[in-house]
Amino acid sequence: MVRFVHTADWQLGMRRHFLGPGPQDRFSQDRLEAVAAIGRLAGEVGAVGIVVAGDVFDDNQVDRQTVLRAIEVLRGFPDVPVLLLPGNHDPFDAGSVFTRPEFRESCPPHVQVVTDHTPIHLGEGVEVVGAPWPVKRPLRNPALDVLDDLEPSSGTRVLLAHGGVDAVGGDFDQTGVLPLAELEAAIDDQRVQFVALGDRHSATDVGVTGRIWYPGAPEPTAYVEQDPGKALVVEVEDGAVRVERRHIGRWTFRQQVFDVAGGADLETVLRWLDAPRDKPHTIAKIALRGTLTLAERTRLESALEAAATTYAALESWERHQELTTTPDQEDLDAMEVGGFVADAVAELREVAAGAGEDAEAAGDALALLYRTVVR
Amino acid sequence: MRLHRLTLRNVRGVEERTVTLASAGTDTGVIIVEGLNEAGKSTLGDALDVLLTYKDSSRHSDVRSLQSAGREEPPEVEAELDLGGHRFTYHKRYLKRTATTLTLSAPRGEQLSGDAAHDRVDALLHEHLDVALWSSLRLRQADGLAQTAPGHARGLATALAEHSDVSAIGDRELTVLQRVQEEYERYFTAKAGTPKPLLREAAATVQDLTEQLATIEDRRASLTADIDRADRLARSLPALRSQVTETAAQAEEHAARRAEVAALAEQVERLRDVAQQAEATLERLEERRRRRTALTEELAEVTAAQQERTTALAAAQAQQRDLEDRLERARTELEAAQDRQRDARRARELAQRDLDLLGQQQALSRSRARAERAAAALARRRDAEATTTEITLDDAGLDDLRAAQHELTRARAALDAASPQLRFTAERAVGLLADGESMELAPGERARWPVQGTFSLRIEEVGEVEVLAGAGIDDAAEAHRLAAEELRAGLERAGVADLAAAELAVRRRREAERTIAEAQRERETALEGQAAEDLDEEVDRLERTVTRELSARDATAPLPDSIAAARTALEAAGAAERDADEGVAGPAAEVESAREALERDRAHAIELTTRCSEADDRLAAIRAELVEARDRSSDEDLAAELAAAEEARAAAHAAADTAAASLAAADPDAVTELADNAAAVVADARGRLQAAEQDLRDTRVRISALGGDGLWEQREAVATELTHAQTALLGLQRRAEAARTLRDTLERHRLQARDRYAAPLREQLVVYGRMLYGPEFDLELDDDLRIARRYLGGLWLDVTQLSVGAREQLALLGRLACASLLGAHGGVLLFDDALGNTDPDRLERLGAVLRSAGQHAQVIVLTSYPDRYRHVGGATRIAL
Repeated sequence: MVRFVHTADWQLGMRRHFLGPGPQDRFSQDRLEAVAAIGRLAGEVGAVGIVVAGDVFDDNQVDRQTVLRAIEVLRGFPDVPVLLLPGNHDPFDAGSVFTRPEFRESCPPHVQVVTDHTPIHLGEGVEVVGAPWPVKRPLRNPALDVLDDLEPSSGTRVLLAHGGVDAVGGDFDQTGVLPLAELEAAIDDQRVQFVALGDRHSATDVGVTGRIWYPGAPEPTAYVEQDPGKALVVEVEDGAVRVERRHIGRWTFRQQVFDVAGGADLETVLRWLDAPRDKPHTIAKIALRGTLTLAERTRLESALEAAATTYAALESWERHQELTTTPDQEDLDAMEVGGFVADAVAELREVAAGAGEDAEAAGDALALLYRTVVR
Repeated sequence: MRLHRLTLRNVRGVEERTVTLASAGTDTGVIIVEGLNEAGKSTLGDALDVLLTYKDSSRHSDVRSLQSAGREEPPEVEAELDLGGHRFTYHKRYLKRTATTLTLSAPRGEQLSGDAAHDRVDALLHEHLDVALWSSLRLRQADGLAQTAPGHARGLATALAEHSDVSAIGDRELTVLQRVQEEYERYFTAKAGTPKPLLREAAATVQDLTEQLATIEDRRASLTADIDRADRLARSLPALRSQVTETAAQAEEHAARRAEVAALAEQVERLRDVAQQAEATLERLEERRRRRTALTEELAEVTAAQQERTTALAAAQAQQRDLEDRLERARTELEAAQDRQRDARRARELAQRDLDLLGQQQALSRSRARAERAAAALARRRDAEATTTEITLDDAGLDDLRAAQHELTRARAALDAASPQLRFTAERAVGLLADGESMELAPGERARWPVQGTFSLRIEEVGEVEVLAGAGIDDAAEAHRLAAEELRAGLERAGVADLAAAELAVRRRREAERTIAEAQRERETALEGQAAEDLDEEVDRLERTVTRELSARDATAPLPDSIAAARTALEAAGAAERDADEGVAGPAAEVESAREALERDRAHAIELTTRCSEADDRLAAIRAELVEARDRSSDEDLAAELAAAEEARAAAHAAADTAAASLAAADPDAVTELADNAAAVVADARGRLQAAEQDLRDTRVRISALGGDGLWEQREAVATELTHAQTALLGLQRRAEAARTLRDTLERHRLQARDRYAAPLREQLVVYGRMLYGPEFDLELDDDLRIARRYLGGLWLDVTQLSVGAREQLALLGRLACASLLGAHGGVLLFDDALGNTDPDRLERLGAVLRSAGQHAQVIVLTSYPDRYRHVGGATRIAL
């Protein structure tokens, strides 16, 4: 029985535009910490090696500091082979981060960048054949060339590859897509025994063989990811393969569209906002559809304002946002306005009940008036 | 508010006055308070203001203005009023023993005093009256033309709202508008509504970050292009290297073929050389044969020519001897003629020298005489100059001496005349020694001496008389002494003993000066302008010449005795010389002719001799060469060698032609072209490879330079910052837009409300205006509900363009209209002597207006001119 750790898509150096400076720093630091956790996991399970199936870095042009910090974490890994595969984010082209002096000069000896198809012995009968991305947009996935050249193997041969698989939906780059049929055919005729993939940020068992896997990103990076924050422990015994998902990540992405039509709905929204325990490591996106009174809207805004300071980021999901502000009698009573102000409120109510920018501006104006007079 | 009664005590000189303005149950109507000037009409209004405004403790100037001049009693004001359903009597005493009392009779009886009473009335006033508006509705004499500005007045607004049935512009609404305006002004300027720095800076930040992002994107695009380029170049290198290898192999094959062809060409060249050598050998032998033939022929020719030259030489030598004889004869004749010529020339030269000698002798005599005269004159002059040097005294000096002598004589006479005199008469011959001078006197002889100073007279054997002159002659004696001394000094300077000697010396000097002048003239005449030295030199030179010529003359003939004779002899000698010269020409020409002929002949002979000698040398050489050539090979051997050489030449040419044909068949030009081309192709391939390698190196250097900059993270950082800035800007813009929308909407509704409020006021004004001006009257109100323009007589005019009277009337109308609309909510409308500028016709119509207004409000008119208001029907009139 032999175990190795399968991970991918560290994308070190990644920045999220919705994060402010403080949360971004936490985010970056925690992602490095997740990589360190993978190293500890490998030690814990007695892995013979660690395969990183592409996109170690978010781009070849990451900061020198990002490279050095990554290497510092890799130094802390157990002394087993760590194979880094260049992916579509960090292809092994003329500008490769892996050829930069700060990487070459500091990279510990047990860490190896997979630059060609030469088989690499991982340990105890496990052999890895890598399909590094030579450029950002190859004509076809380099793994297909590797498979074309392989003969059936009696041992355990791992294909280390990167790219989207056609059978798995998702918003991946169509460049270098891998047909699932080709991968399963290679498994069928024993050319490979396991396909360690990278690119998809959700941990995924692809197809029906149980031998084609995405580990997902060790920390989530987007709302759409389904099972992020994982690393895979792959166990091979007598030709059988068993894969275990291990949770690594700390961060959470959550998004929600709420339909609101009164106080009860607003309460649901407020509870949702209050739910996460670790808000500083939570990134949320929210959209509201429906109608609120001025009092409700004021309450909502104040809750959102508070959440914006506790969450790592709180985004407004503009695509789904469709909120109308309609003052009710209580609002008007609370405002205690008469005369021409009441006339103005009537006009604004009418406009706000419509659609478009004018309606939004009218709703905002009403909310402002409400805040101005009810205080 | 309604004022029923007003009582004043000790106010502005009035001890006590009560004015009852309205009887119970009458709360409207016009009250005309009549009184003369200074009767205290205005005081009524002022007192009511003070009562309602100031506490009894106040010492405000308005309060103090009520005080009566010179009276101790404190002013008191008391009013009976209706206000908002309350009926009360309100009293205050100011400045001394201050007091406030309030007695409410309705809605229920109540009594208050002090500040509590004041505060209660104040509260009632503010509750039921727009105090500011009320105050503005008062029309005093001083502000007769000013319109009231009721636009923002709450009371009026409320009243208008009631009339117009529209939303009010209440305090709360205006406060809301004010707060919204403040929020609006956080983002926009108040007047122009342009964005403030808050918005502008946020937009500028977005712009700045967008530009930063574009810059980084540009750099990344450049880097990406380089990375693509490097990958492309790296991929192209193997193919380029293969090309180099392949083309190099092809080029080597072509080079080998070219080497073969080159070897063939060398062989052809070599065979051509062999044929060339055979040609040369043949040529050499033929040359030898040609040479031998030529020598034989030349030997015959030279021998024949030599014989001809020998004959000619003999003839030339014979002719030479004849010419020598002829030359000898001609020379003898020429020498005889030349001797004659020489003699004649010598004779003529002697005659010439003689003539010259005689001329020089004559010149010498004359020059010598001049020199002697000049020398004698010079000697005379020098003697005379010695005399003038010796005698220094001149005519002026002599005149001085003469003057001194005369002065002395005159001084002597004066002294003598002044001096005492000693007269002595000898009675016997006696010897005397007078002042040391001895003298003898005969008996009877007298002597006399002037005595100057001390005079001693020694008489022999008698004794010595000593006479002393008195002081009376001292001046004369001194003058005499000075004159004597001057004369003596002058004689000594002139170097003469006395005056006679001086005159003689002067005569001698004059003589010497004349001599000098004469001698100088004589010398200059003798020298004839020449320097003496030059004349002396001329004499020396002539002497030497004449002496030399005389000694050189060796002729036997004597020297002619005169210059004329010498000249005659010279002419004769010249003629003889000319004859002799002519006698030489003929023989000389013959000698020259004979000599030239002889030289020609001799030259000819020499030439013949030389050529003969040369021909001899040539003949010897030809013969020697022929001998040597035949020694080497006989004529027969030479012919055999020639035949063999011709055969060898033909064979060599045949071999060379065969090799050349082989070379031509190999097409050497094509082989060379192909080889050159193949080499060029290799060079091209290598060039492309090197260029690609260099390009790759350069590109990698650029990638290395930019690739380490972390451009991706820079880009992401700036993009993140930009996103935040855009979000912030959008939020800001949204809040600003909300503020603008709200503010604009509120302001628009305020203006609309105001316009609707204005309608009843305007209607009331039009009603009153038409009563006053007729049915065509119309007007426009401004934002503050003041009358802005009036229409009358087919003309709209701004209020400022109207007459004083018309403006006064409009001011009154505005107040009446407001008061009418306010009705019971209004205050007391108080006019203090208004309408001073209104004509009688208008006063009549105004009466109707006032009466109409009086039906809605309490109108109190204070006037000194009750006649102005006689047209007000139903008015209560009160005389003060």
